[in-house]
Amino acid sequence: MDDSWQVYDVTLQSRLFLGTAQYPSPSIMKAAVEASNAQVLTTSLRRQAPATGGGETWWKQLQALGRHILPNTAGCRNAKEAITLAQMARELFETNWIKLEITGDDYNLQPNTLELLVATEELQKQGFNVFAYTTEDLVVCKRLKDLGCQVIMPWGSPIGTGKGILNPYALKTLRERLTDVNLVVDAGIGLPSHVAQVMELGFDGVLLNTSIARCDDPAQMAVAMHHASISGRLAYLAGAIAERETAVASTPVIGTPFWQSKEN
Amino acid sequence: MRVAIAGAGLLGRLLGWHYTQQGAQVQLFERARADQPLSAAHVAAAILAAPSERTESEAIILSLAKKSLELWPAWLTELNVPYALDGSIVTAHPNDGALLKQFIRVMERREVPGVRILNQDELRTLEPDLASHFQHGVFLEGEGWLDNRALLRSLEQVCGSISYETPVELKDLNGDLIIDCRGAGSDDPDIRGVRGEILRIYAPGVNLQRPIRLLHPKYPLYVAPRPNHQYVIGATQIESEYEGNVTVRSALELLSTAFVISSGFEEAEITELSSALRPAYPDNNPRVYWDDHVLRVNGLYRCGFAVAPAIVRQATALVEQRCES
Repeated sequence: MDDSWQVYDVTLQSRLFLGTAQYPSPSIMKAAVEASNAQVLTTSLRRQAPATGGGETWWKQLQALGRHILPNTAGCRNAKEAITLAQMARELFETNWIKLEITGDDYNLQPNTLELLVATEELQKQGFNVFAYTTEDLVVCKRLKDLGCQVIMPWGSPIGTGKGILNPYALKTLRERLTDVNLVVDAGIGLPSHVAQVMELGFDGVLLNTSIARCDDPAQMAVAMHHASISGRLAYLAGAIAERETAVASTPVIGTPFWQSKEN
Repeated sequence: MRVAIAGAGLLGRLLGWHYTQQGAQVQLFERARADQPLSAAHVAAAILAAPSERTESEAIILSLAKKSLELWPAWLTELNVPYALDGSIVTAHPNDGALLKQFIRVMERREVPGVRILNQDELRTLEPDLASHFQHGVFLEGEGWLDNRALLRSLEQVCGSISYETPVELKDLNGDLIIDCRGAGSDDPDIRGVRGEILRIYAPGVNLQRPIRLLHPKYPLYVAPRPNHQYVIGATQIESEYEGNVTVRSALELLSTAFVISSGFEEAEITELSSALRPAYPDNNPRVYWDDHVLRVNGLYRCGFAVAPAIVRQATALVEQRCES
């Protein structure tokens, strides 16, 4: 079954985006990337002293994995910093893709959605393809869409917590209201069941990092996450039954002797 | 026998010492100035902590460290280098209790020996100067530290002749045995540098005896003791080969770690902020191999001091094998 999807100018088959931080070694990261089937890898560059080319060896290793690279602005605290870093990333990675991540709070790394909107508007004007990391706030997400952002990435829960989807109602609402943009849950995933849950809601994809990189066996977890993404996606396409309060026997009751019904 | 060694860091000096003891004529070539060392070994916190690194490293590191622990005491005594193997402590702020639980789980799953969970009283008894907010910890038997700079100084006297400010290419070296120990400066295409930054402080009021590793979601750092109330706090880990000075952000992280670990550090004097590149292969494991006629010994990464003696033994065994054949 062809279930490919369009992300800006690129057609993807996999529904997983993978972060590249925190793995025990580049070799283990490579094994996890391959096991996950992910076609998009995100990487930070702020701490690598991009102006000096300090991270060049690392970035070459990432590029050698043959996936689409999605540079991110992790560590930036306002629109100005994020815009400058995005411009550097465009030169370094020769891509218009940028994952906009602007931290608004140090404790839960909650995105600063106010600065995000400012940066998105400017970067869209400059020809970037913005992937916006945001909270699950419907109004912010609608505004991102109005600004031309085609990939909106609400969090499931704060980065690295592994708490899964804290506000399923809000994510469901986002999917119902924003039908013609890509919605990718980014951050908070701990388990394959969280991935499946997101995909069952009709989200287009999931971005994860810590749950794979920091577990005991990253390559094995990557396989589990890959299967979960397929599982959840197929369930969404298959159209799940609606929940109801009373049981419905799957075997017809007609023909059951009446005294048995009485006893029950 | 004439031995030419490119790089006078930890491995270059240890190998130089070995071959000097064998009666060889050893010449080391070092790109840095004598008074401005650039090697990872000079900057490192030099904790002997392979068991607690098992969360990040493969089983081979633990086994190399075990072999090395059999060799270090005699070597360090002979070289008159301060060291201690009284164990180390891993702890976390109560808010990060989940990280400590995960650490314990990984130690159990990977069957790391000598791991003991500590309550607050036991923590206090082992290290009275540890800040009072730590409620739990883990004791790792057999871990310790050594004085890296005393070691490098002692080795300088016995490892052969070092030519400083002499960057070399392997093709220009002559000798019966040529060894490349240039760390992140090697031309080995698989080697990358991983930036690490450290802080050194002098805290006369603090008496921590053991390395203390602080688990933290953003800054997993540690404090390693040195003689005379000196402490090394390190080390950041950044996938970058930039060799510039320590950044403000990294300095803040290192200082915050000091502040959290002991209130006695509040009035400590900052004596140094330094950075260096750890040499690493893609699997972050060391390698010892013949590259044509050159013996490459490299990739000590995070556990250099913990595994160096075993790596030296591997290297000299390879040389002996080739001599025999």
